[in-house]
Amino acid sequence: MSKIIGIDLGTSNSAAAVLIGGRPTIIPSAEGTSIGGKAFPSYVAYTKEGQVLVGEPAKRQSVTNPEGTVQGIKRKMGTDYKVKVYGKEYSPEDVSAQILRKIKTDAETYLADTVDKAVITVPAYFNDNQRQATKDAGTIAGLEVVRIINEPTAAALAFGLDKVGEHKIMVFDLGGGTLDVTIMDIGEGVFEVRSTSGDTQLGGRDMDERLTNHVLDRFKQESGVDLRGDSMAMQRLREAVEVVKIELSSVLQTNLNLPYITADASGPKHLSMTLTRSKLEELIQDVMERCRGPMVQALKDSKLEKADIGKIILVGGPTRMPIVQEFVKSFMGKEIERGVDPMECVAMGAAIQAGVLGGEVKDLLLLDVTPLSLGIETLGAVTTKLIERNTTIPTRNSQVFTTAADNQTSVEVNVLQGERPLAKDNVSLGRFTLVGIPPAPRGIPQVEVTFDIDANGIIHVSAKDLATKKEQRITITAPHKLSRDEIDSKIKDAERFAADDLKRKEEIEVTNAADSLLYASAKMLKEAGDVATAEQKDKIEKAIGDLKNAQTGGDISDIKTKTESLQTSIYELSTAMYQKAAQEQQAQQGQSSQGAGSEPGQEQGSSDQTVDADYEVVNDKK
Amino acid sequence: MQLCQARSLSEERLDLLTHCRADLDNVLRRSAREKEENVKYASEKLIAKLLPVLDSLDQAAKHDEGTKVLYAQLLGILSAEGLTTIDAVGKKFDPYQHEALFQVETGELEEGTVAEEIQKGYLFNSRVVRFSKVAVAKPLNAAKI
Repeated sequence: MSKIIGIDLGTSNSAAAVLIGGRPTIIPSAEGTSIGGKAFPSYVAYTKEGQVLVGEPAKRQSVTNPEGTVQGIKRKMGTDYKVKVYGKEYSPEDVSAQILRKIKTDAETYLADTVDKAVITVPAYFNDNQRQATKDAGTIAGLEVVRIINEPTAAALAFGLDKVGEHKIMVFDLGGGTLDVTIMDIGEGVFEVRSTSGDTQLGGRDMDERLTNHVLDRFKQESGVDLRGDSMAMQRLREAVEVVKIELSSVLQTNLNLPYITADASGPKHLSMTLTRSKLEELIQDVMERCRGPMVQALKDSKLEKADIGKIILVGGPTRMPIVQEFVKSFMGKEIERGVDPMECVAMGAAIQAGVLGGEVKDLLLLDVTPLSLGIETLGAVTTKLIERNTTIPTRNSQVFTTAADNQTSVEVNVLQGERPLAKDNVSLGRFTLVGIPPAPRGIPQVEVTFDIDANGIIHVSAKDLATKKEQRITITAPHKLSRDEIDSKIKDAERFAADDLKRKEEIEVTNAADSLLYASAKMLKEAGDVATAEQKDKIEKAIGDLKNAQTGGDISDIKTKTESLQTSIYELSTAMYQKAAQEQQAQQGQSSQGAGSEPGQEQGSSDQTVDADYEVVNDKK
Repeated sequence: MQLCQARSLSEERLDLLTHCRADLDNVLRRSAREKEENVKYASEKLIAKLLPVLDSLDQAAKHDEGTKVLYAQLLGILSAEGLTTIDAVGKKFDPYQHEALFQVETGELEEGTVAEEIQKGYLFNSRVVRFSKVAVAKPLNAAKI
């Protein structure tokens, strides 16, 4: 069964999105993305040769074909207006259908599947005729329009506002050429428009104009040259100004450099000036002021006060500018919602609605993640992570651990949450003990520890002795509901202390390695018996003594060196032991030597392995 | 009754699971495709950003011999990477390669032909990285509609 897509059919730009794995994803336009984002211009062109162009290509040829190029057809939807080109007539639905047809094709390419159904958004103030016309356009394009939803509603869905109780919200939609302010009731399945207001001739384009004129005037002042007549210069300038405007949303000032912008009798001219955000804000002051009226009107018509509005969302490219955000924020006296791209939210909201209607979105709307890593405490009071932070849940992971001491018959599992390498710096969510482990040398028992997080975020930790199958478990229901800020600060701490923590972890690892080696060496000496020469024995015993002294001394690099020298002397012995074992094997002709057997060689081999990193060590209960 | 409910619930769940699995497969397939494309077009963004520099050098080269060499040097390196200029003047206007800025009345060129190049366009490995900005020919005294 194919997916239902969501479509934002805009006056100046259109975009489509679809739910993939529960997440709204913008469908890329076949001709690539333009400077502002992922939408394409709502242009349709009928050429003399009978070709139909949609989007960027239509825009690019518009100057050569003004009679056949149509833009902003949305303004005519629901009317009897006819587009007359080259002897043919088209209704607004026909023209819009061309745009929808292109979207259908792009979607089918992207999803590698047929697409027959869509949810399309319309302005909140659209009447029945306009909504029907939009539906008809879909039908002409080969799409069944399963729902028409309001643009501010779609935006609210994208921000997830329908999931957090009931609210009165304001949607401030400032696009390339229009401003729409909508006040709505939302939540608990309710989406009701209380009032709308706006300005159909106000948008980002006005801001571009102000900035371009400023640059032209300044250049004229500085160089005496007016670039307005030079089409090539104007082209370069317009492009550069748009880039500058967007840059000034993230930096306070930037350089506009256009060397060799033009040339006159006195030689080549260069344009180079610094543009500041404050200057831009000054230039568009009047544009911002015009945004006030619609907000006042919408509030009045809704019979609400500013304080009644619980959430504010911004839609449209120009709302990315800090000055626009500040303006709305200071007018309303509260923060705006963040987290969704203002240019994509309408299409995304339509996709979410499409997903609901398509049955994709039942209980598993968006999956949660674990905000912080989870693990257990292991030898040396370090944390061994089993689940990394930001892992999508439900999830599970297991790892096999072993004992730290000979005859250790119980292991304590300390469940830790956090990013720091040392156990004491993390939060302990709970502890439990598994008893009844058969007595064995350290490193032999196998205890499987499993972390299982279900879809509700409840953590189940279990420890199972693989020999006896004995198991113990713990359930952690509300692991410390941390706020976003608390989580962020814990992660920052981990980064800040990373260097120190790493050093201390290495020190612990060196100590652990020394301990393991001492244990293994003593064992090996005992088992080697006669194979070890007196000389080897002395050497090893001295190395063992040195290492023990180093441990008491506490100097990490000393411990490391002494560990290495003990290791070297052990290798000599183990090599000798293997050689002897090989000789013995050859002596026993015709006998199978594949089995694990009880040959001394094999046993020593496995005791060597306990030193490896394969097995982690679980802390003994003190 | 309970069995019916349980059965339909389990069918629902299986359906959802199948969808999730299919989604995952499709995403993996698409990721692999996108990864390949990214590798192929990795330099595209950087090259697009360098184009204004090319423009400036092109202009400067008209006035200075030394800069001419510099321009040729940079262009040579970028060409080796896959950058080519889009043919404009004299060719039929193509909205998939050119952007029309305005029209010029002329009796010498066929209608719809590119008369002037205002800004050079470029292809990078046969993908348009910047469209040529051109003026398109129209016949003299074209009748106004």
